[in-house]
Amino acid sequence: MEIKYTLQGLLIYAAMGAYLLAFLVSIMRREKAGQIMYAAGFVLTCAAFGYRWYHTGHIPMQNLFEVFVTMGVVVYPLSVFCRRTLKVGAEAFDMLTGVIVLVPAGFFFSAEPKQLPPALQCWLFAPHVAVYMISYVLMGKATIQALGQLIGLEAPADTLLVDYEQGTYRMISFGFPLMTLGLILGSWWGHLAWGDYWGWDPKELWALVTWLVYLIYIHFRLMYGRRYKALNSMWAVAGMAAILITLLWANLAKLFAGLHSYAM
Amino acid sequence: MYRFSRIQMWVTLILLAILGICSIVGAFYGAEWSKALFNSAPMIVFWFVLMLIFIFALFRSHRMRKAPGLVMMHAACVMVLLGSMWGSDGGHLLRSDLLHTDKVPGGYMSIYEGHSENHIMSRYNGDKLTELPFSIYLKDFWMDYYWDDGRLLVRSPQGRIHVVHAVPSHAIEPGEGIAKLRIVRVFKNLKVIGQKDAPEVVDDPGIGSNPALEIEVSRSDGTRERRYVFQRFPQRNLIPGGWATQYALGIKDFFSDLSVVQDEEVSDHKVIQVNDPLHYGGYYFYQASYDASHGRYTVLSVTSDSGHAFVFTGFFFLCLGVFWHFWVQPVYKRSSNRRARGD
Repeated sequence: MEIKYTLQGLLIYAAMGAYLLAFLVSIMRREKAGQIMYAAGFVLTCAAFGYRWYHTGHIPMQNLFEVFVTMGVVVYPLSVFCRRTLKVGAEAFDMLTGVIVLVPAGFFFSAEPKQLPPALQCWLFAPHVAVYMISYVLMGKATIQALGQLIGLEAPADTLLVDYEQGTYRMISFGFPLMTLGLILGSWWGHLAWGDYWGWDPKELWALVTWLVYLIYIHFRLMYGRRYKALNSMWAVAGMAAILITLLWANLAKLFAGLHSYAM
Repeated sequence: MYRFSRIQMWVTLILLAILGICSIVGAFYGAEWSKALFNSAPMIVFWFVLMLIFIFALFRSHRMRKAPGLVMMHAACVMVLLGSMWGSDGGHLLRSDLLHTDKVPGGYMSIYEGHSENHIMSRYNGDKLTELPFSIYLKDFWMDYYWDDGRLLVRSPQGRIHVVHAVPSHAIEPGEGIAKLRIVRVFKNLKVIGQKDAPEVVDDPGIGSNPALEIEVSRSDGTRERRYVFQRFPQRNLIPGGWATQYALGIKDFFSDLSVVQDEEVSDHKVIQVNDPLHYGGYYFYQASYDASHGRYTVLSVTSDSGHAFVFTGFFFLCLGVFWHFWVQPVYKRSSNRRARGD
């Protein structure tokens, strides 16, 4: 664990503070103040992202530090979009997600800038990582909805919003195409860089496992609809466990050394 | 849902779960083991069963008739599976046995600058050499570096490491007998020209690459000397008195200037680099490795393109289908409902 006494670190900590404050204010039913703090957190995360981009000279999606900052950026717009368009609520927990994704960047992963290795100098680099990060944040939101259903939280007060089980399904339906696109873009990139569209690398296999978990969820829900709500929700939570393994364990554990080791 | 469809869906779920479990096990055992597992005889049976289930779903599932996205996704999966089988090691071997084709799944080839090569060391069948019907000529191989981000590393006799940004006039004062160590010049391609008794060190803008630093070492006793620190020849980087230096320079990219020669004529030419291979004669030629010490040869990874068209067409339709089904269709359905209600 390290505290970053740099402008980069300061921006991340300020963004975390704003997101945390937004969460606390929101659960105290001060929704307008919460929204303002939430937007401020977004602006600060964008500043941290922009500063990193300027500092490294390339889009900051190379390693886990940069990936978590990127996720901090996409939380807010996705949260707003999901509430307004997909009618999926629990925005306060999105604010908390903003804090959670910035914690690894702020305290655990090194912010030492690194040069892009030859394999990463490809136009597919940014789209591949970006769509994956957006899908992960959406699946994170699906997990929150699923947990809400599992622990029996009251349905959202706003009658325009859907219940937690339906919210889980909508988030997965929205995130799954992006996850599929991320997998395919990665495969295409592998074809360009390494000569194989599929290399059986541990990270690739975990990404496939994650995709399969959500695919099974979608098939199961197609079969039984809302009849087995708890089972549906448990699959969604299992999907998040697979994402965490793909994103963190597959990169950090020496057990899974492979072609994606540069992503640390 | 019809009973028959439900059974079919359960079979699909079980197959997907088996695939997931095998992938988890494979992740623990590594890429080579996983490749062997997923190409083994039981898994070939598994892939065929999975493909049949998809085909069956395409023709029998009543849901498919109402959802073009679902049709696209399932047809795409069949295409990906067919393409993968056709391009797999087993697919190549089968065609070799049945149709007597001489195409191999892939391998490696090393080519020295100024030379041609028409053999690939196949990764299969005990690393045997396979002859191509054409030759690859390597005109030149070179590397590009992150020149602005080089570092000079200096290790003192007592093991202390000093690091300085490799920019002219940057200096360190390491002590232990050396008062100052200053970078005088940065070379992209250091060459020594002229007579033996009066050699001249120049930065040659022509062909080749030899990154180096010229440094000035000022000792505590007032003496000074000029030395060179080479990026590629660390054995030449020692300073008398137990000092060692290193010029660390990040590699930005590798390039191989290749020509395809067939029937004594150049039929194709390309400067390849990482992420930009040469495609010719049913094979892709990738920049895989290089001669790290002298930069005189390149190592190309060679991969057969069999089945790729099917796989990538399948990927395209899988994407199209999944976005159509989950993104476009609900919007279309909602607007249709609104129109029907007269909103």
